Amino acid sequence: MDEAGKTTFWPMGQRIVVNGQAKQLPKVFNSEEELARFLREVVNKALKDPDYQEKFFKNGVPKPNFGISVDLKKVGVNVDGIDVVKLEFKFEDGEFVLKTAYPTKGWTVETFIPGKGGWQ
Amino acid sequence: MWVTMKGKHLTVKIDLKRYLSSPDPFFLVFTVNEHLLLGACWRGELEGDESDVYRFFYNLLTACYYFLRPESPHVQRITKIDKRNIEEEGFQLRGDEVVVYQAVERNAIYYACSTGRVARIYYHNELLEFTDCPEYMGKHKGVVEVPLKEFVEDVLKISKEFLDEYAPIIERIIIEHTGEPEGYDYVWESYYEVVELYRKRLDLENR
Repeated sequence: MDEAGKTTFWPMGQRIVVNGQAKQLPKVFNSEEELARFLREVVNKALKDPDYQEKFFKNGVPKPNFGISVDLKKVGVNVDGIDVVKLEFKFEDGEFVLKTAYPTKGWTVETFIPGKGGWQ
Repeated sequence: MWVTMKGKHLTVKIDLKRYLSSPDPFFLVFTVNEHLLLGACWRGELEGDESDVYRFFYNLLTACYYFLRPESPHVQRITKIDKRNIEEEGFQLRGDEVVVYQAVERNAIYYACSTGRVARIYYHNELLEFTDCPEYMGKHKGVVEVPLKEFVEDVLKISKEFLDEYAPIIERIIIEHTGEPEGYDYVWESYYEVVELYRKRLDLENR
């Protein structure tokens, strides 16, 4: 773990040991299925919002590779402790494919920075 | 091994030695003059942000495309939307911005704005919130300005250098790890789109 990246976790009640001390993340989602359902909801609602729709295209042409930052309150998704989610899409074989998603703001969003040596 | 693409103001560094199996597999540092927009600083050394390097260049080229087409209804809609986003992010626009484009990167968001004369980049580099390098403390949010023409010329210069010299190497690294090519034709297409718009703009100015 000497890569100095930064990792945010989906708060699913994980226990992670850092320097011999256990840290428990809050439990916003009870299972992977629940998380997948949440992401489907976020993507579907973002796609229906004209502001986010505009960001999927460049002058009417689908963008091949891009990220959006979704304000959950704006799209009407309420999850305690997560306010903003970043989604990364690619346009492949005629459709937008969600490549990854991660939370960026909210009180349950924890950040682990290996290069810095701990939780922030 | 870090490789560097450098313009007059913009500098991009990519580490060709490391690859993380993730959607943002490379490490990339992006600076505009002395401002660190993407990347971190730990124990006195710069470190890259995780990056999909094709998307990074596509984002910069899209910013230039928007800068050169301020009259397009799509660009005006994007500007209206991202003016709201930039204010929610806590930045105060100065009021002379005619194009505002939010570029989302792995651990940073920057807003590429144009006044028609100046490119003004507001950025929020989340990795710098946790820096232990004194010179970057409190610098995770900021704004940097360069002449619009020089910004576009820099983006074209570093993109061309990337496409000619490093994209083929990046593509080989991706194939080594995933077994298949990813393809970056769309980055070339964006590059030529901006070259053409830029030439038209120069012709107009020189008339």
